[in-house]
Amino acid sequence: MTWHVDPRTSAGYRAGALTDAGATAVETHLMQCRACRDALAAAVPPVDRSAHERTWAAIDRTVDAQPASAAEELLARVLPSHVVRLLGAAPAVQRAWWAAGTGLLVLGLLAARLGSGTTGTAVFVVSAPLLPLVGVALAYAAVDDVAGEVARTTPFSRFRLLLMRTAAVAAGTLPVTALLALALPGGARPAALWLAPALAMCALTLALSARVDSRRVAAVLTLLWLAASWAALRPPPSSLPLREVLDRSVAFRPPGQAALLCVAALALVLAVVRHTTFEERSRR
Amino acid sequence: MTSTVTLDGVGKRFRGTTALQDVSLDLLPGVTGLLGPNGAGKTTLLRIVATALSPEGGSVQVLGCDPGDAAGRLAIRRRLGYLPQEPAAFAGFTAFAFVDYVAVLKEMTDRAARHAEVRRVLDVVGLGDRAHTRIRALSGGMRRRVGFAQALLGHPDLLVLDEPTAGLDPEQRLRFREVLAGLPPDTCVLLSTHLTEDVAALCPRVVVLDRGRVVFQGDTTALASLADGRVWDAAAPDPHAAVSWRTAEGRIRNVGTPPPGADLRPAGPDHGYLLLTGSGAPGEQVR
Repeated sequence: MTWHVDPRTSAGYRAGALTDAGATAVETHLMQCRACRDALAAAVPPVDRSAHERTWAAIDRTVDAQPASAAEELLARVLPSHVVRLLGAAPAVQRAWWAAGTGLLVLGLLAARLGSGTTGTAVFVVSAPLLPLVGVALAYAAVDDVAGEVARTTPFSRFRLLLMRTAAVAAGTLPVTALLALALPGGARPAALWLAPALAMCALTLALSARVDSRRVAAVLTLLWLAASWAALRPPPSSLPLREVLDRSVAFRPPGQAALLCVAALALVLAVVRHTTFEERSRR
Repeated sequence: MTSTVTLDGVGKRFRGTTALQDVSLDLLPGVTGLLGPNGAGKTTLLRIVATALSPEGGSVQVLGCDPGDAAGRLAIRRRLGYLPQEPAAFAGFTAFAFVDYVAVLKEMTDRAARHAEVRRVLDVVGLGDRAHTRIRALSGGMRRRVGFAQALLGHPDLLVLDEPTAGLDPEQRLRFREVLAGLPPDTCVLLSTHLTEDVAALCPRVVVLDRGRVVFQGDTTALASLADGRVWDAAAPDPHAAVSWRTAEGRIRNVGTPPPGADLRPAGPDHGYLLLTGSGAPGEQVR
């Protein structure tokens, strides 16, 4: 090599054809010689900047990725990142809540399959509506818990956030409960009975949480539901057929089911009509 | 210069206790300090300006909008950065995820732009290298800085900061001052503190609240001038003093009406503040 990198060596360096020792010698020289650096830069084809930016964006994405729960990773496959971020903060997509909720239903199901079919099925249809209800209540409470007053002073609509979280809870819990319900003994009817009370109680929680803490609403509804169910279904004689046992509760008879669906629809309409109340409540 | 925030005759009561009474003030672009003893109503005032709380009586205009109506509130919130006194931060989140969560609530939906902004504000508060540490593992001062970072998202026109320097060590306080000094000059910052040195270092203007009322509003130098010729050192607490305390040199510093021939000392904003909020009873010991 002369004082500067000669064209042949430079071409070899660009082509990656030099030996390791030769390449190291060129690089050592380049670090100290501006003329050779410029000559080399002029000989290299222009860099595709968009490729650089894509690479950096990919690095950013990897670096910024928060260790996500399984539920969040699942959501991220179908929803945009900002929606996942909003939903991921709700306890309803956290593992502990899921484990407790589905555990409860699986126990009911096992009781129905292994023990007395009548009592187990009754326990299942009474407890199943509570899974989405508790999820909805926690999802609402999370709107305040995650960022507190900061969240309340952002432009994002509080009502919209509540609806998104409700939809996430519904989308998560209803299919799981429905699948478990299909495994109940007794055919299609007991498998569908839990849905109307679940919808009614979730919609009532949504409507009433404009004025009262959602957890309080859910607690009162849970107690009322359990008390009414206990009064109607109290441990029946084991000889009684399942159909007659369930018919003892008005909530499980067709008119009761229709009334519960009406309550759900009305509560939902009321919540939408009065959605500004959700924003106002936080400013009192 | 036009006011960014105007309050006129604003009051607020909580279960029979008056938190604010007939508060009127104008805030200009730049940093304004809100000083006052505990329970003076500072947090209530900041929450009203930040649209977190509705006032009772009087009128409020923030950035030219009325926070009393939904459209005005939305317009204000789009240009607001707010650090509450105790921001709830979901401890399971990393600093990055929490600030990113708030960025989503601030309507930043484009992922790449939002993440770049989150990285920017975390770098500004010096937490770039702790971005992926969970909040529960951060120190109190670092959590405070995470709160400050979210307030800076989107270059807000109005920053409302409740006790932003609480829990920060001297180096972090210095860093905080640098960040405020680096904001665009037309940004309006309202920050509460009970550290008069923060006000002296940061705030060209100051509002002093005492028992829910505004007792001073003006330049920080004017607050200091209130105590001109009214600060003196003596060997013992002076009966003419409104407040007295022992200095590091072992002398007693008095603020009030000095006796003839007193050893007068230069007045600062803290002395003016003590004159306004001290009990006024001669000989009262601050400590």
